[in-house]
Amino acid sequence: MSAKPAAALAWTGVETGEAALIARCSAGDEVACSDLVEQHQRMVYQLALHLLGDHNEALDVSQEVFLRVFRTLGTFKGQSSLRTWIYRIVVNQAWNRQRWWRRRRQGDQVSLDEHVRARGERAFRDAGPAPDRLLDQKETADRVWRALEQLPFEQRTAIVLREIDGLSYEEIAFSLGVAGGTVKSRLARAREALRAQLVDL
Amino acid sequence: MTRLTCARLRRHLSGFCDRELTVQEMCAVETHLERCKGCAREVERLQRLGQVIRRAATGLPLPLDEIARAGQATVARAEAEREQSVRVRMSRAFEDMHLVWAALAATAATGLCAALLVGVGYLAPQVRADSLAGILAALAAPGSNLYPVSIDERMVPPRVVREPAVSALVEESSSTDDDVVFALAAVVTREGLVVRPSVLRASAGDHETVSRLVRAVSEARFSPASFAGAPVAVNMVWVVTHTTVRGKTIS
Repeated sequence: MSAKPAAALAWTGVETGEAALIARCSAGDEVACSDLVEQHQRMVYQLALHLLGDHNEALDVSQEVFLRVFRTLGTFKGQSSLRTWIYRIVVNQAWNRQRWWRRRRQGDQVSLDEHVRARGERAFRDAGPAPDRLLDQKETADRVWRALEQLPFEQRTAIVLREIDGLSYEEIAFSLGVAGGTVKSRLARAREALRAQLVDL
Repeated sequence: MTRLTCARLRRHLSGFCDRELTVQEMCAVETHLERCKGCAREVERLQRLGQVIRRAATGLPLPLDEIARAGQATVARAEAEREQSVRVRMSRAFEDMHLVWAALAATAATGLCAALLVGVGYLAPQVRADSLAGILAALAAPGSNLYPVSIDERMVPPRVVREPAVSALVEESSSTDDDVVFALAAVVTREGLVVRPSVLRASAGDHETVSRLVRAVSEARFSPASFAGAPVAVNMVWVVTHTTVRGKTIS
């Protein structure tokens, strides 16, 4: 049960190809920038969507994240993998957006329900022709998102990064800028709260 | 962690489900779970919770076209920002050194001209009173301290506020019974000061006496002359005389 501070970690997760891509992006190579966006845009969008629960906000945050990545790529020293570093930027941008959102634009939020209604469910739509099962899955998913939305942002971020994105505690700690022990306690509290709300699942 | 109680173990279940415990801790938890059905059910619930969350996430639509368009727009914007950055614009400006040399030469020439102008202004002598510039300046500002006017009947003349101590000096310089006359010219400024004194005539006394006389006149103070209520600087002349009158004794 050891707990190391995230800053003390020394990772060498940057592969040679990735390092070359970073160098080309830093030099302003447009093709390399496109490659970098292409490699990570899906992950960035999905994490932003899971944290904010809004399609348009997630798209906006994705753009802000990549602009920030391009502006600050020169400061990236390879202390983590590029993916984890981008995760960290997504979390920070989502947190900023959420605070701004709460103050000014909460009424304009397009919920995940509306997003799903407008575009249909991906996995459920492909699940086959059993309507009862589809309905059950949709209701369960709705309940899960509602329960996640009610969690504090830090706990929601920790549980999303762990359960959906599959990050290790060490990577989550780096992404959130906290110690490993904090990640552990946030995950435990998040699971406890979710279990209380989803006790019958 | 050889013998875990249920209460202690449950604090570690989250880490156990995530496979984030040490090997020793994992073994201890697994040993406990083999004999404790309640804790085992708890682990199953946590694992089931993870599955439910992951399934909910996979059900969300993934608008790949929109994401790709947003990505392309971001790259284009980043490129535009880079194009407009100061560093890029500076490096572009220095690509053609012909223009740089021309700009540097023009800058140097401008600096040189500015220095020359300042130098001429600094080194040039004062404007002569009889030059065209001097006349124009006098006409533009009559009665200023620099261009005093002569007193005429329309002016209120200056009045003495503090008398100059000249009587004793004149008496000193008069060693004989001859008459002594000193004529001095000066300007009484708008502030009532006596400036630019000069000796027009000195019928007696040595150089030092005349100098002391000039200093004494300079220390006098006046209420300034005025024209239409406004103070003006005026030229004035002082005539200081010492006259000896001899009488005849009538017997």
